[in-house]
Amino acid sequence: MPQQLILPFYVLADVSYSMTQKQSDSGETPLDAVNKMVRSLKDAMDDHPILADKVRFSLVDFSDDARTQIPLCDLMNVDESSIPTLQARGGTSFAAAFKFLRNQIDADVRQVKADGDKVHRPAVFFLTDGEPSDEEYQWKQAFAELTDSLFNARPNFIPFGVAEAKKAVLDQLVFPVGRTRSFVMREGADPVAAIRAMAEILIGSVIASANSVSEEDGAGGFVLPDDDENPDWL
Amino acid sequence: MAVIGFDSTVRECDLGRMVEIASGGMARVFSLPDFFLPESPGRPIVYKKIKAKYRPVPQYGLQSLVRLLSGIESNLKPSFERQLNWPVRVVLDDHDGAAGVILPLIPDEYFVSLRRSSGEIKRRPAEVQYLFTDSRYCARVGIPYPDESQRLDLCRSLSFAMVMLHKLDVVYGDLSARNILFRVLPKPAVLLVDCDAVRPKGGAAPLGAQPHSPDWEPPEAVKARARRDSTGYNIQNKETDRYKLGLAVLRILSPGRGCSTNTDPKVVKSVLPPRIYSLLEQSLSVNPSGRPEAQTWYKEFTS
Repeated sequence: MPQQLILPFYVLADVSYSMTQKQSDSGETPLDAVNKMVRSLKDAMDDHPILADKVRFSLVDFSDDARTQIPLCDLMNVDESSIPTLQARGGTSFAAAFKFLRNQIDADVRQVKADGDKVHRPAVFFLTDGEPSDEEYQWKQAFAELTDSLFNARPNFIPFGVAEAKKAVLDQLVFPVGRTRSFVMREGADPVAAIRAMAEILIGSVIASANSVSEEDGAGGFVLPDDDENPDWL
Repeated sequence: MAVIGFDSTVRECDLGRMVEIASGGMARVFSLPDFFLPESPGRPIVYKKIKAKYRPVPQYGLQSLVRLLSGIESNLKPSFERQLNWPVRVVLDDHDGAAGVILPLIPDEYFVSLRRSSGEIKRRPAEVQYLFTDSRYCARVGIPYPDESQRLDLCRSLSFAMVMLHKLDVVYGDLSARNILFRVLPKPAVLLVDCDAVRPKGGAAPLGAQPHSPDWEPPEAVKARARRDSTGYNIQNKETDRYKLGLAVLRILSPGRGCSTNTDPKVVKSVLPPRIYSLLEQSLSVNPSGRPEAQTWYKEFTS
């Protein structure tokens, strides 16, 4: 098999208890919507099978700590029955999430390279429904380490905020500034609907990014989908 | 009910009801329940409306494509219409620019019904990307996995489509995994879509220069990008078409992991007939003038 050019996508999802507290009209909680997101992405990859020649996916959840729920993989090879159902636990430590993810990305990228493939800069879709429970200096320092210019695999970071998440906080997590953006739900909007919209953006981005990257010389890279404005996002 | 004459243009206000059936990056597609073509009233058609941010589009270039259809030799026309989803009218906006084109509706046999992982059945155009996958995927989602003989027939059909275009001095341009559709039944054949983006040789593309799709870039385009020559990068001509025809043949005949990005025939040398391998080597070479014409491929697949 020829050398592949891999585009890693990570979903870093808040599973603090608050993610199970607000229900939409359908009775679904935000965490239910997150659990459906992976299945939606897998469905989209079924529609576009050649994405599997480039795209790799990982699901990491966080509360007081962070855990890899789906290790970096070709989602096409993941059996539907083995997709984990995220469970709520603890608070909302951004610092724990960012530190864990930095180590995970570093390990993943090194592994893919050791397999003889090339790796594009990863993209992280970060979802939270509230404010960080750790001190500001802690999460800021952890984020600075994750996006440090000396960290070769520093990811593109796209923060999504629903429910109580504050735009002023999430705007500080946009990286690189000017290339990505934050998506923060308008006050009063339905968090479940917002997470469904996030899934659409994730899927659109996976497709658009894979279609922008050329194996031949590695040109292109992560892009957000070129789509109509969603009035529910700030 | 709206009726039009044999003019190559029609105004959007004369189309009657428009029902959106699909949306893509550059355009939205509508069915037209009140509108038909007088020369073929039973032929199902759709309106591909270019999104506002990509307009205005001059009508002249698109009109020349529509007129090209009427100039085709009568013995070639049925094959041309079967294999190329060619614009049959230009739709004008209120300012005499082109708002889009009327196209034949893509026949049902060029669609597949995929059984997604969630169990949902999704109808999608049978893009050639499905020929690049392995049999396990096709079995899982319930779509055909053509055998070698059917694949050779598909390659023959594709090369014939390119023979017709090049004979008319038309450069297809952005041949890719998305805009070649295929069917297996009643017999293997391909249909080229997005034909409003083609370019008559010696002129400009009516919709402007289309970029090469990633993983379908000929070596000369890759070199141009390396020297930051964006004009050179965008050049599409018969030679780049020939390169992409070779890539399509390579990928249709060697499905499996990594196939959609592979540009090296050596990787699959052992599974290809020697004559096809030799043509592939020439097609995918860095020397544009050495690439076999579509006619050469067509002869190979009909021999």
